[in-house]
Amino acid sequence: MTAGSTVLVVDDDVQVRRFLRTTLAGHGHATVEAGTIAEAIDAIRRFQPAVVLLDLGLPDGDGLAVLRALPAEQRPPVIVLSARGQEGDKVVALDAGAEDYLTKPFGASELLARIRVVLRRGGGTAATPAILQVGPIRIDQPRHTVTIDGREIHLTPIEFRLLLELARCPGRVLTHRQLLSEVWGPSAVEHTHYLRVHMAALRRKLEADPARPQWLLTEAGVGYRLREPAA
Amino acid sequence: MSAARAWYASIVPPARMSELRDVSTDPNAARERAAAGAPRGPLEIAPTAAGDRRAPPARAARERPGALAYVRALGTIAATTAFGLLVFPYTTLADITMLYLIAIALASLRGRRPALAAASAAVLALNFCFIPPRFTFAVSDTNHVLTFAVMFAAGLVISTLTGRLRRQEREAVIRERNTAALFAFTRDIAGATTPGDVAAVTVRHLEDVFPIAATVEIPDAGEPGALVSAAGLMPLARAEQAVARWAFEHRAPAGLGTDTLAGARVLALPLVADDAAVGVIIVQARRDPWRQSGAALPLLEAFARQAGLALARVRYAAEARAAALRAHTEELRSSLLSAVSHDLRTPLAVITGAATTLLGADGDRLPPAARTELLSQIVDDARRLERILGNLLQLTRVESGLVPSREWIPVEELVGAALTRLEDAIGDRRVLLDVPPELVASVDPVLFEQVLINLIDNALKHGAPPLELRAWREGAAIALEVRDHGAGIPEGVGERLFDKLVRASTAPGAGLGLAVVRAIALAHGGRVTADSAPGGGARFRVEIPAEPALPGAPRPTRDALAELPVREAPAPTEAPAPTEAPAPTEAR
Repeated sequence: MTAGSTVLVVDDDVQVRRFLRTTLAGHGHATVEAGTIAEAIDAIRRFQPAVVLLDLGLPDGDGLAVLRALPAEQRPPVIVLSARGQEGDKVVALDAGAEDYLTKPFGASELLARIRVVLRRGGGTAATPAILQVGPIRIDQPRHTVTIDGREIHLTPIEFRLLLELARCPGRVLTHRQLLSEVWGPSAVEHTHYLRVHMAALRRKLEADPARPQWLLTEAGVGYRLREPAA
Repeated sequence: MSAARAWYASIVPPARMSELRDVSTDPNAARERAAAGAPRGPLEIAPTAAGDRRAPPARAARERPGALAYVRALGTIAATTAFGLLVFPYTTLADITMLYLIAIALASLRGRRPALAAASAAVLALNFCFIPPRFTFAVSDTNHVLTFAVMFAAGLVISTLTGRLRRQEREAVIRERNTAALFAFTRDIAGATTPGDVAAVTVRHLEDVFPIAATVEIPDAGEPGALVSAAGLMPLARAEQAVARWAFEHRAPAGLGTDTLAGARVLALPLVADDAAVGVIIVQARRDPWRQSGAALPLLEAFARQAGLALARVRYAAEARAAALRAHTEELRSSLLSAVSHDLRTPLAVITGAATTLLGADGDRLPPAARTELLSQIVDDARRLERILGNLLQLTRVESGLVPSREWIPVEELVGAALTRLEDAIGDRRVLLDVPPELVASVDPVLFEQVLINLIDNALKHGAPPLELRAWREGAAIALEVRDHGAGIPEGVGERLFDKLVRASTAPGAGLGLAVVRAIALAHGGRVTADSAPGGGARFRVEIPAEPALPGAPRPTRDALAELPVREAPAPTEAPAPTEAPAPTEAR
């Protein structure tokens, strides 16, 4: 499913493009390259890539312009490439519709894992199955139950909703804003603290050691991610 | 000029007018005094201002004794006459004359006019009552005319002498008061540390001592050439601003009472230090007569001189501090640069070496184990490079004044995020955690994750497992401690470990990680400590305020949490949704 997809690499650095091209080709992906916003938009229209790897600092402006230039339904999933310490930019990109991000420098395995997660989502519109299984966690939506290794755990409605949101796309980061908006509604997007309190409660029920979480991972300053189970 | 004279007349005794004009109209005099070099002590200044230039006696004796003085003088003469009439049968005319002289002397203490009045009365009384022919004003002997002259002369001399004494006494009092005022001023202004302080102290003291409203203006730091009010509430009209400007630019008094812009309502005195104007005092009389003050302008100028010196002192101190800081920053930057460039080059050398080996002609012939080894060296050293660069960047960012964007975060989540990021580095080493789940801190999540990562990374590199990480509330602070079981911190190193480029062991590193920890802790209003734990191993502790005053949102309460309504859960896609399983509710 993941091999053979076309990946658009948008980065003005020739070396980065070279590395990505080689790595992606080694894993069966065809690559298209763009160095500017204009080229990127043009390439998306012409090649309809399955994924876009988007660097935020482009010579002709902020990479976010690529996200904004195209309506969500015409846009392939975007993975933002950015440096550590630019958490604010990442959040803006994610809230603007990017699927995920990668912090430079990143390893090939990380890159491929992100692409895999994004491709599996198929653009994010796929229906959620009634029963979700992420590693040992099994979520039965119709019955509103959650089990871990077959052992049932009791969640409050909020915790259940939070877990469900994260489990819909394991491995994908969700910003605080996205989670708050999904669970509490658009008017609650500023109340990050509620989210943290409920996440802490959820961890206490789901994790063996909540201070060393194995599944509910924190992306500092960005949001949360349910770990993608190792294949 | 007449208006100016009237103004001075209102605040100084007329006797001082001539001196005031001398000083105020001669800009050179003020400049010379200011340029006279070493600042004079406050005790020397006041006499210069008030005492040395004594008014001529002829003008000074212009006093206005009350009617009581005349009554007393005439009473004395009357009493003497009565006594004389009583004893005249037993004495000579010479004795009576002596009695009158004593009476005139007594009356002369009250001033010159009462003295003259007493002398006149005495002459008349003596003539009428005692000098033959008695009980007429006729004088038979011309000798008596000399007696009268002596009596007038005695009155004049004695009254002049007492008058001078009294004036000197009064001047001494004024001098003392001026000295005290100047002394208090110099004492207070010595404690001023900013131009604003100096200006405020100056205005306060001026308005205490003189019946005036004062404003101090100093050059505007933002706009070259402009003056800005540093203290004082007096609003200045444009014309008055011009007076201040002129005084500042020409380093000479201007405005009321001077030759320059004399029509103004205010007087502007420049504050001069080292031949340069550092500010200007603008004063305006608040109420009319204040005759007790004495030498007003000289005292004003003494104030201005002291204020000028203080302004210059404050400015020099600030410049010296800035220069020291610049030198320190410069030194730090160059040592940082040389150290970091070394630390950057080492991993680069490894990467280049390993990669060229793999790429070289013999690369294919390397045994697989060696190839793997070289590749992992490349990866390790690339990560090392990233860490150094990351720390360097973070350090620059925080030290150049990045304000942490604080949020209330469970400490457990911070710890969890850091441990997740260090998963690979920790490997299977034991980590013991003691973090209360309810502990919440107001911190910048990204910065504080870096604090934890650096502390843990430091313990991994320099210490030995198991690693202990605990957090707790300690009074008004939240304490966070990372401890290892290695050799501990060498004697005498301690807190220096948090300095840039200080390393306690030979393990690779740039000596930046702990400096970043400290910079971030300081930016959160906290502090860091390091010591060797009693049982062995190094112990690093970060303390931050549990309830920081500013900035950031107030700590949310549990009650507030309950108020947030939860959205309706969307029905699952294949939604038979049978009996809505009642979700177990828990007390939260």
